[in-house]
Amino acid sequence: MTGISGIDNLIWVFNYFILFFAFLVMLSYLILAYLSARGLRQYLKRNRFVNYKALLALENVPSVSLIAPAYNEGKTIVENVKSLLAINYNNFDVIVVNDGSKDNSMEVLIQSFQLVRTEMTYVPYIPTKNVRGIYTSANPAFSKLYVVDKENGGKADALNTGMNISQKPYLVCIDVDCIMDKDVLLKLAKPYMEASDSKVIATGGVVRIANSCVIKAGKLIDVKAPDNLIARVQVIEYLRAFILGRMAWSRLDGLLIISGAFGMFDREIAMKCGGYSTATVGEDMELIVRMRRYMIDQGEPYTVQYIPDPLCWTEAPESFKILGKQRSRWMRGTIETLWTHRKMMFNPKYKILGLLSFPYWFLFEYLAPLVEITGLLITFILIYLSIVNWQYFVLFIALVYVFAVFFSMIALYAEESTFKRYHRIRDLLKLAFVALLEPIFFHPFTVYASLKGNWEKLRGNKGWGEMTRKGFDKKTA
Amino acid sequence: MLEFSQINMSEFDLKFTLILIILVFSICSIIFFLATLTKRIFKIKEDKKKKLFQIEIDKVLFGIMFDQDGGKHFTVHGKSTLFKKLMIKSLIGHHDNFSGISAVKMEEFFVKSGLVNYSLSKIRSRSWVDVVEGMRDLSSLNYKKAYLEILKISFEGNDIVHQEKLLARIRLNGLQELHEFKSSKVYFNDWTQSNIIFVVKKHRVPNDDLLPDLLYATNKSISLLAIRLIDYYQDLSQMEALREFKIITKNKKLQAEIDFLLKVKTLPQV
Repeated sequence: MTGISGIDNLIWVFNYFILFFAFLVMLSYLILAYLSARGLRQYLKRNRFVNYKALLALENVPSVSLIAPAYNEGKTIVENVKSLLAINYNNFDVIVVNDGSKDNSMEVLIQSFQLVRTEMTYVPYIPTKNVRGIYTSANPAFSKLYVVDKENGGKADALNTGMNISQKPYLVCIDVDCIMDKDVLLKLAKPYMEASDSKVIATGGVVRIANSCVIKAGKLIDVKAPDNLIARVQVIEYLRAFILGRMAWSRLDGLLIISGAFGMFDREIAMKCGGYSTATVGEDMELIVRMRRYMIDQGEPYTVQYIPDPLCWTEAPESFKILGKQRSRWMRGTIETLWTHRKMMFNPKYKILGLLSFPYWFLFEYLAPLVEITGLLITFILIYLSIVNWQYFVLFIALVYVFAVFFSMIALYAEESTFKRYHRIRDLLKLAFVALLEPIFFHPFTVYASLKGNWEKLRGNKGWGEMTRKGFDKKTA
Repeated sequence: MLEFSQINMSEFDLKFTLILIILVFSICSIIFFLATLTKRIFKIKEDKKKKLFQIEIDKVLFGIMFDQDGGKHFTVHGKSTLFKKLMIKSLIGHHDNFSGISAVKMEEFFVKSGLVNYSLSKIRSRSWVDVVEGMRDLSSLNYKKAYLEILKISFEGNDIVHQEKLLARIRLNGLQELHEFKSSKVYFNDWTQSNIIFVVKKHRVPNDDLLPDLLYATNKSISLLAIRLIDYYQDLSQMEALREFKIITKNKKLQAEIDFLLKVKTLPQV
């Protein structure tokens, strides 16, 4: 210590605050993992007898519109749309919203699906950018397809356009470049058919990483651990988030997010809430929070359901540059949602959402990177002042590292005990290996990206940042 | 005045505790890693075993289907649980895909081979998972003698067991099983209804003359199911009863369902 009582006290308080915070984070992870394990066990036990094909026996199943916004997807859009049209379900249509693409997306779509412009009138129940035209196919084989050509307005605006056009009571909002399980709609729709007392307002499922997987004709043929190290770490990260995190929040009825890559919504409620917000880059999280808040404010019983099956496979960033943009955007989205709905924080009216989910997101999603970086800065100062107890320092670093690895191993074990999508020993070894590296090279970067997100938010940056993808077809051709 | 920095946990205790926690997490990490690998190795071995079993099972079932010697004296006595499970799965698969004499052969083999005893032991189990599996196996392979035993099964508050029990009863005894729910308060949600219709279609459950009676059930979910079943069978007299019911009923949901189904059926074919 310095011998100056004021500074010593400050250091003491800071040390114990960091220690308390770290243990709180670890404890919360362990509790969530425990709840998830119980939830998954119960889900799998009950679900082993579910025959989703039975839903196909009923003609009047919940009627669904799949809304797929597309921006400069010309190279892969035909394959992706065909894959969407081939989904197993009785009662659905596909609305592709071309969000002012600068490439040849529209030309390719018109040619491939024999599209003709319709006289359908566009009614902007939710205000959107100008719609240039609505197209349907002259070929009866593609009768389920609608293509909307509009001015560029971003993902939320494109989704709102799809919502305005849809005539169906349920919406599935997806990223057009994701690979969907062919039974995805059957699985998403089932909770709506079981509901009795509470209205199901949204269902969402697990998103997985498809890098290096074998994909043919828009279908996932073989699951592999990504060759790229950055993408591989994200597999572990997604396993932790979806298997050990969201499952638990779903059990607590405190789920604040349904992945933007795909989720199913009650159209009426989503429209009443005003659709996706174009003022945030975290429109997926913001909509769910707004819908939940709306239902509570109206005093209507409702539920948001989570399906832990891996139903959607997406391409993860393979470079730090793209990853940084993505994570910075996620942080801005979190800040915007937490700020917009700040009245829910610690508000008993919103029950678990206000008393647990919101504070958790604030503390561990928003504040944690800031606490981490503050800790790091102060450590540097302490090192400079030569008042660091190196033994403790090393022990605490080791503790944090070992816990991170431990939690990743639980996630890997949970995956192997449940959905078993990685069939080869080699893939599991690759994932376990990357779990050892993650705390060293990946986590610090995500902290940096979160800080960048904070900084960009302060500077008023509202953009998405360019998200370049390699595309699945290139890799598997 | 007491200074914060003077409140110190014994240095040795803290270090020891930290080292202990680090060790515990390290060991647990290794355990989870090894458990993951063990599970995968076991799964790989099981898959290999399954492939071998499947070859044997296909040979036996082929023999049964085409009256060859292979399957006549086959018994599952001494075979592993995995083998029995696989064989029942294959039997049900064949039973679903064939009708007439081939299906009857599968049913007879289910009894003669002793597999039926395995399934019967399941429905007597304390585990609801086994009970559901057993009911599904026995009813899918049309083992009518199990009907009374299935009827007695009761797992209070377990909706999966109740649903499977009803499906098994319909498979074994037809649609008359629905009549007891006419005035009950059991709500048949859309998921349950889709399962019932699926079973009716897949197992070619014969039409029930008294189906129109269900339209007038006080349990409106049963009325809805009756509408859907009548629509499936497309029996002329029952369709007439359906149209009459549409005029009489004041229930908007039921009217909408009839409208939807009749509209779907009369849409011009492209």
